[in-house]
Amino acid sequence: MNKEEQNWINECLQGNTEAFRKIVDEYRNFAFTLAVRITKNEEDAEEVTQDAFVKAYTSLAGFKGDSKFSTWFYKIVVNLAMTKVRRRKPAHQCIDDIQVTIADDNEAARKADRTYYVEKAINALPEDEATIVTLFYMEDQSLNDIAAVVNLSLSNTKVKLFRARNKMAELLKTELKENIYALL
Amino acid sequence: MKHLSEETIMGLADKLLTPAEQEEAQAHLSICSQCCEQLNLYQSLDMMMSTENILKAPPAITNKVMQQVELHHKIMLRKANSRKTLIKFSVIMVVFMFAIIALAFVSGAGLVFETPSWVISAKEILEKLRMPRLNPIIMYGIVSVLILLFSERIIYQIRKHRLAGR
Repeated sequence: MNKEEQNWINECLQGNTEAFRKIVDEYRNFAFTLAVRITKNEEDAEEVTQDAFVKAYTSLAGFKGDSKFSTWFYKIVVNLAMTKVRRRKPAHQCIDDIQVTIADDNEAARKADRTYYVEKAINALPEDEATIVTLFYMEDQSLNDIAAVVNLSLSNTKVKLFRARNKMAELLKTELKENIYALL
Repeated sequence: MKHLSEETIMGLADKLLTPAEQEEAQAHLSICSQCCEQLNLYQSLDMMMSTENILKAPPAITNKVMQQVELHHKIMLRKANSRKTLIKFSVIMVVFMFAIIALAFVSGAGLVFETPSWVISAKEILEKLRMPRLNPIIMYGIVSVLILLFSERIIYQIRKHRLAGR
């Protein structure tokens, strides 16, 4: 955990709620991304993100600094998102209906296409694999950190990550064929 | 020809192979287009994921979270204050009670404790129910503590609702 983050946490514990705003700004996008990947629904993800921050604030005194703050916080996000998923039937977004044009010269269009295929590939994964693969590509999460977040052993995490990447690669291969290189 | 395993190809894409393993894999890749294609696929996946990984959260999230955090902070402050007040009040009451008893002993007046009728009826009910006998003073103590705790919870709930309504 970096020094700045530790200062924010200490300030929060001393009653300075404004210090928590900095933590929210820092982790807002990461938490939201993780929640979207698990719940596969933006509305639920927004709710999960908010609840995760509030829960993190109320249990901040319980954070002993044994792990990185991000690992501790992502664990809260994952647990809340998983609970949300368990409580409702999975509502997959019908992204198959979206029309996509590939190999557009416009960079923005290419970026949108990349997002579309990444989202589609991740949505095809079960929640636990989606969580692992998201954390793997996110920030500076090591495999040990990821294993701690998802509450699995290191070897189990490695296997699940391997499976997830394999499935995603296969899906992209089927969907895009040679067009994949046009998107990069 | 034996192809590279998926694990080896992924290890190569992640640069996790030992120099010897890497050299062996590279040698195979130079003659196998199928494995080369698979490696390119993993590298493309990595590139796509690393560029498109983070979604933008709605900016309103920060304010919504901060509102809830502020509310929680206020409730906790009020709770701490009401606890402090309750403790102060209890200490004052205990000191006051002991002061009266001490004064009674110092002044030489005997303490006559007359048990109220409701305590007698309560005792009778307890005896009928075969409950253990309770000293009236202990009963007074238990009832007072229960009343104090109950009042504190009610005050806390009222304050919480008031703050949430603001």
